[in-house]
Amino acid sequence: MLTINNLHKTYFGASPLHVLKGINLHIKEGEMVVIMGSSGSGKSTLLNIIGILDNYDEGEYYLNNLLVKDLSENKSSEYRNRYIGFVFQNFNLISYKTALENVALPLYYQNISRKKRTAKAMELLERLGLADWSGHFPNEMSGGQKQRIALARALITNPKLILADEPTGALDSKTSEEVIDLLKDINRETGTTLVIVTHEQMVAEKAERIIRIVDGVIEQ
Amino acid sequence: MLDLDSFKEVWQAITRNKTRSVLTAFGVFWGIFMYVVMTGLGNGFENGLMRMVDQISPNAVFFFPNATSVEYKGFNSGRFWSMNNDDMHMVKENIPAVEYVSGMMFMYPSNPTTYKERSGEYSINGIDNYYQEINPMPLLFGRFFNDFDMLEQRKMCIIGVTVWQTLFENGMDPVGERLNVDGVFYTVVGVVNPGDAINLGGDAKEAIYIPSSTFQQVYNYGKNIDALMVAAYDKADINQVENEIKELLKNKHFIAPEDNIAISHFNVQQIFLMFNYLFLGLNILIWIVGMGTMLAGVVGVSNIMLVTIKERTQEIGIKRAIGAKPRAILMQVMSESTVLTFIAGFFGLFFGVLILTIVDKLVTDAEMFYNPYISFNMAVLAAVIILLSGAVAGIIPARNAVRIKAIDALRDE
Repeated sequence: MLTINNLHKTYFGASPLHVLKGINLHIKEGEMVVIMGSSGSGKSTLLNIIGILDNYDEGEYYLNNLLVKDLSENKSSEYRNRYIGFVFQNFNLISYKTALENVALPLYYQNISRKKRTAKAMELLERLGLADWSGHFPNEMSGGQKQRIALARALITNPKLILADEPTGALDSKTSEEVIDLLKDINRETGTTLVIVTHEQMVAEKAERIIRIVDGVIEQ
Repeated sequence: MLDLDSFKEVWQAITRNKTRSVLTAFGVFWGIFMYVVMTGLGNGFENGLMRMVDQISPNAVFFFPNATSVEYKGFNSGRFWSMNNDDMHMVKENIPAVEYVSGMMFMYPSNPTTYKERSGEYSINGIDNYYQEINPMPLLFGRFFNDFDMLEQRKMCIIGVTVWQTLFENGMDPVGERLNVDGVFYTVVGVVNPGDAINLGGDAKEAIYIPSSTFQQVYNYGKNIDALMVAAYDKADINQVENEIKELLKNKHFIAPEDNIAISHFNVQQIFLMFNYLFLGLNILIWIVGMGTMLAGVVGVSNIMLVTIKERTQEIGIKRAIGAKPRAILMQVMSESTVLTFIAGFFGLFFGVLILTIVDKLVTDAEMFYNPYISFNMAVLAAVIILLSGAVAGIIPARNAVRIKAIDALRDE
């Protein structure tokens, strides 16, 4: 599903910062992986590269057997839209769109008709038990609800891979557990590969595999 | 390019961020509004003034005698002289470009004019029958003077509309009634409603006109006249005609050629020209101010959008993360700008025309103001400018929006 060979990444600022120092990683289809590490270890950078949000300097990254390297803005947008679903720590919902419209938005960029994408989004919200909230705006919902809406938005394109960056960072422990359980259910039911960045032990315990990053390399 | 679905997206972004949209669009609204109102009011004044002057023959010239200012052929300076009937014949016979000639005399009688038990104080003007060709006065009742009135020095008069309203019963036809004017009885033959553009010898609406020959007899003028009025043929060079007449008069009345004070004169074309320049200047001013206001509006839209793009980094970043291509973001911002400007411009146009309509309804009796509207062409031009400027206003913000990468949204936490 996902293969990374000898990946290097340096941020060239006032003083160059070598963040990733040769990452080798293989994730199989349908796996649920947790990436852990202290802040500054490079785990978020790795996740951004996996999510084609950032590029890298050296090495190779294959997603679904496609080499992802130096893609144009158009190509990377298309790949993200097609293969990857994102869940963020602060939900990143669009404030002036309702829950339903937020969920349907990725399909807008696939030029799917309004009717079809609304129907699909509604179906997904029903499956997640959020149908009653479809007409509400993000600021009318609780953190847990928002994160589940964000999850629905990530799922609507039937991605191969879901990337979650600290998905429970802004939630209390009870809601955190519910969201993680939901992620796990989805992983089990649909076989979607799941990569979660976190530093919460509770989240890590639910994963099949834990990858620890220390100072830009994976700790064996 | 902008299909219904993407239009709905744009419309949603605009309507769900009402305050932001209204603030953004206000500049353009105000620009168009001011432009329409100013142009309309300018047109109102222009139409009003033009309505007043276009009754006069544009080829009319007027001459008045003054005291001389230069010694000449044994005559002292400061000599008073007057024009007479012979001057009229001389002008008509010697200058082929002259079509009509009329003398005019003015009198402010000390006795009021009376009709039955009513009375009023009005000026008395002596005029020829050709006066109507030079400075036409629309007739409300009756007729104008004819050759026989002149020849026979008939005691008849034509009265201004105010005289008629004051001396006669409401709406009564006064033709055939007899007025006591300064001790002499005259039969009314007509009522005129003159424009306000050129008033010789007081307000033309409050004057009583009698044949010049009658005037000369009644007031012991002999053959003298107070003013000479000439209308040239349409194609004549009116300034040249004016100079030729002036030379003739100077020659005949022993006035020094270099004496510029002895004869006052003006021609209507100069007045037209003056009005034309006045309104040209006014229109240029309106254009500069209007376009300036509109430009300020467009810059305002661009500026506020620029600021909101910075504010919307997160929104745009999220959209990029979930699959929006740069082109989609570009189209979104440009479309928002165009739609906003268009709506604002339309409202500006609408309220501008509304204000003009209200002004037109309220101002009904002002002579100087008439029909304050902007032409259809002007409105279309304004609409085109709005649409173009909307697109232009979106360019810089859109360029900035496209530069936003998905990762920026996630960094800005």
